Amino acid sequence: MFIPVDQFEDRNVTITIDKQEFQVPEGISVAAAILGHGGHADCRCSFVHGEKRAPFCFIGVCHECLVEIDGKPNQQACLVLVRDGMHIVKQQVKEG
Amino acid sequence: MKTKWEVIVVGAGPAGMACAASCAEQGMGVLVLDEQPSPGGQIYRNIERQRDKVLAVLGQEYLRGAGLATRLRISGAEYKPLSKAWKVESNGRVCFSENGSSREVQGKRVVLAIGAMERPVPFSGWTLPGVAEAGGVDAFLKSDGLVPQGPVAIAGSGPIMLLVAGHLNKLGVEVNSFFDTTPSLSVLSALPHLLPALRRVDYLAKGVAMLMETRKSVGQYKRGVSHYEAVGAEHVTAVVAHKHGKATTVPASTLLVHEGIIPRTEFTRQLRLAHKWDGVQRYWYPDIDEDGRTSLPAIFVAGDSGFVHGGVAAELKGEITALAIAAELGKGGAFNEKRQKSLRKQLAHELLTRSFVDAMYSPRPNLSAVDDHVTVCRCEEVTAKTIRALVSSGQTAPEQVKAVSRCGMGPCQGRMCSSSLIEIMASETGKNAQDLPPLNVRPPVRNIGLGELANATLLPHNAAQKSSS
Repeated sequence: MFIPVDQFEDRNVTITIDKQEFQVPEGISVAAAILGHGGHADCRCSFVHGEKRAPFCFIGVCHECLVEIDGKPNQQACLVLVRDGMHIVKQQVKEG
Repeated sequence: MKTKWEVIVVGAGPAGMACAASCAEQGMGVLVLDEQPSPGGQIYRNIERQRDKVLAVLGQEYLRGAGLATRLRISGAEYKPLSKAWKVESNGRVCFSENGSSREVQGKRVVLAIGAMERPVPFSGWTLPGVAEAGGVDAFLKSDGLVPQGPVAIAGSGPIMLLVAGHLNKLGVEVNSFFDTTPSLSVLSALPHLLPALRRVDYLAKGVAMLMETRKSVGQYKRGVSHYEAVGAEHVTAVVAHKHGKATTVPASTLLVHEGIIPRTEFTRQLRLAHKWDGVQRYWYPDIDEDGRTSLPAIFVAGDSGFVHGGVAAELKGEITALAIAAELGKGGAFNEKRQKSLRKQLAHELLTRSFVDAMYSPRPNLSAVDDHVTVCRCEEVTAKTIRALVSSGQTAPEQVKAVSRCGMGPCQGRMCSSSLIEIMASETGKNAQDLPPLNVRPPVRNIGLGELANATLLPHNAAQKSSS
């Protein structure tokens, strides 16, 4: 879990995370929306055993932050910015 | 969008910004492809619209990036944010993905300035939510204004740990423990490099000040820790540090780890360029000359992706590469030679402390001596036990172990596990890590959908292209 250092007066972007609606500041990443504003500690489950996983590197390398954005799976949450009306789903995909 | 450019720069950290700006200032057509939403790289991430509260904590050194970002913006270079390069060809062609669609562009010269990453090191519990890389969390603070939930434990080795502890402390986050794994003998191997480092007393003094501040601000400061682990069911709840066979357990909501920095070599690997092994820091780096030239005339490497020397050095290296390219393309002026000389002098001054720091924070010898149950490949969940079993059954090549176990075949494409795979295999077989062939890297080096790949706008293949490929 992460905590904002500021109050973020302008929460003018509306998104959903797992169907729940949130108002978040513009310009932040999807990872920040999930971990810092959406009250979640993880982004997806692991592919083999289905363990909870959260971002590890925060620089686009580890791919632990893969989420579904507007119906498109496997998006790197740390490298995508929030957009008004965006639907984010924590990915629960297990490989066979 | 224009498809032909004189220079294509991949990455907009200090090296990429300096190189692109300098090339554009000298009249070249420059395209910059960067994965981040704004220029700065990791070190100067979000420099253009930083929050006051975070700016106050990051201080002067971070502000250095502001001038650089402005210079890039007004230089005339075309800057493309949120753009992921996924293939670089030896003839200067680059494929990249932007907004879910891909296309190909051509540069007379391509500068790879993709920087460095924290060395990924597996340990028990490292896949638990709440465990993250220290430098990465600092970058997250810069871009998104978030700090991790306390109490925070920090473990590993290297100056970045001190930096991060300082930032968290100033922002009121409780850091309850600092577990330093730097072997005490490292001081001895670093000593021969102290003399040149003494010419940068400013740098050394800063390090000592940071160390003293950390010792004062954190709950407990433990040196000589041999290894550590994260404990928890679905989230880290505690951290165990081992020292002289004795275990200390502390409660933690977050564990930040750091085990040094390594160059990012995905494109130089994809291009099958020659790499050299650094025995002190134990990493591969591309074989380049002092201007960043590779064995391919169209391909240059600048900044930390050539060798990890830090942000200020990266900026200088980016500019040095820009001047070399200007000379090759018949741009720039008579003044360039003088400028080049001065840059090399500045770079040498910047590197005075580097051998000392590299030896001091050389990776600990037991880094890959992980327990059998530890997950090495996070994506495909391959354990050390599986790798060791394959080695003892006769698989001696890393590519074989990858093919059989799937270690390195997940979405991160081996970025997180390939160095550990090699180190574990080396210690099992009694070989040196540098004698084992690293895993192959093939395009696309970024995950793009099959549909996007099929619909990519490619440049027409010409005769020259066919004969060279």
